[in-house]
Amino acid sequence: MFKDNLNTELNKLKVDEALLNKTRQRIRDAQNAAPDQIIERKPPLPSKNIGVFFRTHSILIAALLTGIIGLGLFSAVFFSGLLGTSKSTDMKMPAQDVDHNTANEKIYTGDINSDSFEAYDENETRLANADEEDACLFSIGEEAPDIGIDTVVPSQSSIRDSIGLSDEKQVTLFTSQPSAIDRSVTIVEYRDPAPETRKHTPLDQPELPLIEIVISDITDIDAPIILSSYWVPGYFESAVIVDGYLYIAALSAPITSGAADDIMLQFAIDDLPWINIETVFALSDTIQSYAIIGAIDILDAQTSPSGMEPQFFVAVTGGILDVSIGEDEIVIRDSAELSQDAGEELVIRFYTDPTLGRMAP
Amino acid sequence: MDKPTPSGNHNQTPFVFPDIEELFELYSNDILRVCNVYLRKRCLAEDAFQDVFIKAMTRSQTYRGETPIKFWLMQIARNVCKDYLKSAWFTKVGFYEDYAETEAGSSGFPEIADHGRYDDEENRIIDDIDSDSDLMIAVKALPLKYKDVILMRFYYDLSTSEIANQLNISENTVRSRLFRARKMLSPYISEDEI
Repeated sequence: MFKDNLNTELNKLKVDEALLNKTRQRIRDAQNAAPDQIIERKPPLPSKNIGVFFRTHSILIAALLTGIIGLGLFSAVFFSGLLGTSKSTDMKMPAQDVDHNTANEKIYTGDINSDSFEAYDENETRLANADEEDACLFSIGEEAPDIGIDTVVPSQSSIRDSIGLSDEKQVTLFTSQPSAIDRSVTIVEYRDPAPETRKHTPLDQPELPLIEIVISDITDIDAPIILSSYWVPGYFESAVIVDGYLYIAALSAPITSGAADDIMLQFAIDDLPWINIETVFALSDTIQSYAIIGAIDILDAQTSPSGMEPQFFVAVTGGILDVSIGEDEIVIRDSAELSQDAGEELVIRFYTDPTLGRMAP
Repeated sequence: MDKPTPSGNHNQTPFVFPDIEELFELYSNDILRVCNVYLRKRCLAEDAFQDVFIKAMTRSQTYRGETPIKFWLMQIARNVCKDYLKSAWFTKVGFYEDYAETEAGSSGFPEIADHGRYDDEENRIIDDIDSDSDLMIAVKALPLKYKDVILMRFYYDLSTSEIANQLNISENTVRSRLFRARKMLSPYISEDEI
C-alpha cells in the first residue's frame, strides 16, 4: 500500500525535454573543456635508457664532474682569502620585498630568538622539523616575527586541559605576523605521546594529532591578546596568508566510520572549540581519507560585526589525498591507486562574497 | 514506475558504457525523482540532475561494472545531493517561496506570497511544490539516512542485504533505519510493509 502510494507520487515527476537539452549542452561543454584541464605528466625515463646513457657518455660525464669540483674548490679558496672570515651566524634574514608570487615556495627555519636562518625546500623543512619542538617556519612573503615564541604560543590552558593536552606535547609549525596588521598567527600541532589520556578524541582516533590555530592581537607586543583559537584534528599540511586571510590545509587519517555525514557529527563536540565543517566535497566515492581546508579572516578573528563567521572550513573526502595550497587556489588530488577516481582533482577557490563572506564554490 | 532492469557487468564480456541518450532513456526519471526527494525542491533537483549526469559522463571511464549502472548513478546522485545540502549556500541562503509563505501566513497578506512570481518557470516550480501530497511532504521531511533506506526499499525494490551493501552499512543498521523511518511515516505505512 505504502509502496504503491509512494511510487504513484514519485512517478508524477517526469523529466522534460528542456532539462534534458540543458543537461546535454552542459555535458558537451564539460567534455570539451576536459582536455584543457588534463595535467600532462612527463613519462618516467626508462631505467634501461638511463643505463645506456651513462655508459655511452661516461667519459664526458666524468670530465664534467671533475671540472665542476675543481671550479668549486678554486672558488672556495679564492673567496675565503678575498673576503676573510665569514661565519654562518652572521647570516641575516633576507629582504622581505620578495615577489609575492614566490611566497610559500621557500620557508625559513631556525630558532626564533636567533638571527640565524637557513633556507630549505618547504617539504624538506616540514619533515625535518616536524619533531623538533619550538621549530618555527616562516612564509617568505611574510614579515618574520620579532617576538618571543612564548608570547604567541597558545595560552588558553583551560581548553588544553579540557582536552587533556599539555604544553610539553606541542610542536609549533607555523607562525607569522602579517605585515601592516597587528595580528599574529601561530599554528601548533599537538602530537600526544600518551593519547589515551585525552578526554576527547576526534573520530575515535586518539593517535591523530590536533592542530591549534591561534590568532593574537599584538598591538601591545609585550602583552599579546589571544583573539581566537581553532582546533582541527589532523596532520598540518600547509598554510599561507593572503589578503588578511589564513588558508590552511590539513590531512587526516582514514575514516573508519563510513558515511561522509558522520564527519560533521563527530566534529560537533559541545563545549570545545572544534571547527565546524561547513561542506563535505566527495572527490571520489572511495572514502579512505579526507583533507580539511580552511579560510580564516585574521582581521575578523574575534568578533564578526556583520554576523558572518570569520572562519570557513570544508572537508574533502576521497582516496589518499594530496593537497597543494597556493595563493589563489587549493588543489586536492586523489592519488590512491585503488580508488576508482584516482587522479581526480578538486580545485577549491575561496572567494569573498559581500553578503556571505568567504565562501567555497 | 518505469524502472530499468538492473544490469551489472558480472560476466566477462567487454563492457561498453552506454551513451547519454541511453542513460537518459533508462534512468533520467529515477535520478530526478531521487534528487527531488533528497533536495525537496524541484529547481534544486533539476540542478543536481544535471550535475549527476555530467559527473557520470565525465567519469564514465572509472565505472568498472561492479554494480549496476542505476545504483552507480544513484550513488552519484546521493553524493551530489549531500554536497548540495551541506554547501554553505544551501545552509545560509533561504528560498524566497519559503519566506513568502511564512510572511503570508504570519501577516495575513496573501499578496506577499505572490510577489516575485514573475515568470512561468517559477510558477511551474512553485506549483510543483504546492502539489506535493502529504505523503511526499512526509517523505521529503525525513532525515537523509532514512530517505536512503526508504527509497532503496520501496522505490528501487532492494532487499535489506542489498541496501546494506549499497550504503556500506550493516544489515542491522538498515533494519533499524527502516524501523525508525516507518515510525516517522506511521500515518502512511503499515507495520507489515517493512
